[in-house]
Amino acid sequence: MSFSPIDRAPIAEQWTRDGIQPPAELADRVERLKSPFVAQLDSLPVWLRCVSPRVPQ
Amino acid sequence: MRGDLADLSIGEAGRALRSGTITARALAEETLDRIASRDAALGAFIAVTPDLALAEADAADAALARGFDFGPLHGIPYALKDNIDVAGLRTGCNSQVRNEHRARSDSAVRSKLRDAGATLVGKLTLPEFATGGRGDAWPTPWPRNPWDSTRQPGGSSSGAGVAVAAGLVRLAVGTDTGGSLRQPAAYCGVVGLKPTHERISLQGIVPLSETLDHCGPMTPTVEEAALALETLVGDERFGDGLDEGLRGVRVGVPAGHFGLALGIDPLLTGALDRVCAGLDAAGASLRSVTLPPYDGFRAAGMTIMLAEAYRQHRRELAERLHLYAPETAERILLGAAVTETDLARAYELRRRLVTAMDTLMEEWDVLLTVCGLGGAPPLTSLGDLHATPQTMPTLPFNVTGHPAVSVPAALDADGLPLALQLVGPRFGEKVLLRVAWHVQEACRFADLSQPRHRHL
Repeated sequence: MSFSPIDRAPIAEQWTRDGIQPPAELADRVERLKSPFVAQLDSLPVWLRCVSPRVPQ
Repeated sequence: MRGDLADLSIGEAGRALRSGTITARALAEETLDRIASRDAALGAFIAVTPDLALAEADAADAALARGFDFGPLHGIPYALKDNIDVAGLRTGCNSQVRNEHRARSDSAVRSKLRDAGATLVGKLTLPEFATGGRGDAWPTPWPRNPWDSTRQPGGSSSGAGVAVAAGLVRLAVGTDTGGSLRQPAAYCGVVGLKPTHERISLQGIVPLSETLDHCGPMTPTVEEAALALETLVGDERFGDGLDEGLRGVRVGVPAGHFGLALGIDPLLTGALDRVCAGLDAAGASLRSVTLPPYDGFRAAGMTIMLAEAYRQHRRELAERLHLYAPETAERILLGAAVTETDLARAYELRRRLVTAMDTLMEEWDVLLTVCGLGGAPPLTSLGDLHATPQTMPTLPFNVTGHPAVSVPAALDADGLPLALQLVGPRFGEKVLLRVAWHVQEACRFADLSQPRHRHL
């Protein structure tokens, strides 16, 4: 599994692809929530290095 | 025999029904009377179903009269969280998005309970689509915690916790995606059981996160949770032998409680010490155990939960975003930030955490830890999306699918319930409930106090 950093596009691009058009105020609020959540997403490779993939025999 | 029927335990009511001392109709009528008199102040129910309840109670009485006994829930009133389908009723999920909804058929759990002769008295409230937030724009607001109406009832099975704690029903069935049965049970001083993932079918339940969602019972006692599980599972006995000694049972106490130990109410730590002494006296072998760090469970769990919720709702969000409460939309729209690579990583991390936990549980019969850090927080602290999961010792076992139960253990300095959590091996609910019964005995929580709204 690749642990390379992800080049993150603005969240609104995914909404547009899905046909979702949030009002500007709502979109701004979600953008403000995004930073701490993205920090969690970016921590996934760290945890994958910490937790063994070994399946016991 | 009238006047306190709704206070009979499921076991007591079952014996009285079979002996002919009471009828299912009298039990249903008193339950409906109690809901009518108490729930206006509590708001646990989104819908009450008196006609259906009385018809099912009459059918239960008629079956018993003909010699047909459908099991421990025969004639017992219960309520369902309003994300669970009942044929002909709206499954509203406390959302305007589902105003026009009517379930065409019963969910699997409703079918099991109907076939077991239980009596549906209504549907219970929840945060919109089992998410969270302040609730200002939901059709129905948060229900009131019967212990203190200025405190949170917990969620998302909030109506279930309130209804059981206030004595409106002895059994509520809800869902648990990150702690949604165990947390409200803990804040309301009752027992919440999240069985093993896929132990109980999720068919006919509106998903929040389809691979983290679980379904289970909430009851006043461990014995009643065991009887409910027997019916919901169908082919195993969980209520027998709960009081057997614990000789040879291995109980692991997670060191540092996932790194959350510093934040735990000292009165809960004291209760844990007393419980350890009680389990030791009952013959159990207790030792400290090290689990993978909580933050790893949290990263996997929150990624999966938000990604799956977004995928579940994206078509509806494209068509009817305006019908969602803004804070619900915020939470679900955030899931669009999860890329396919993030989700693949989260699923792989979960697979590794499952393997680590399964390996660990080969050496332990039950883990004993906390269910939360303290008593119910004030209502004024509702709404912080990122605060709650940092302090949810329940989430790891949604990620891994292991069965877990919350048991009320003590009162905090404000007189609010504090709870412990026990975790079992996959499909190990029998030993889990047996140890939980001993925890209940060691704590004698029901003797400590009663919520204010039981006395209305």
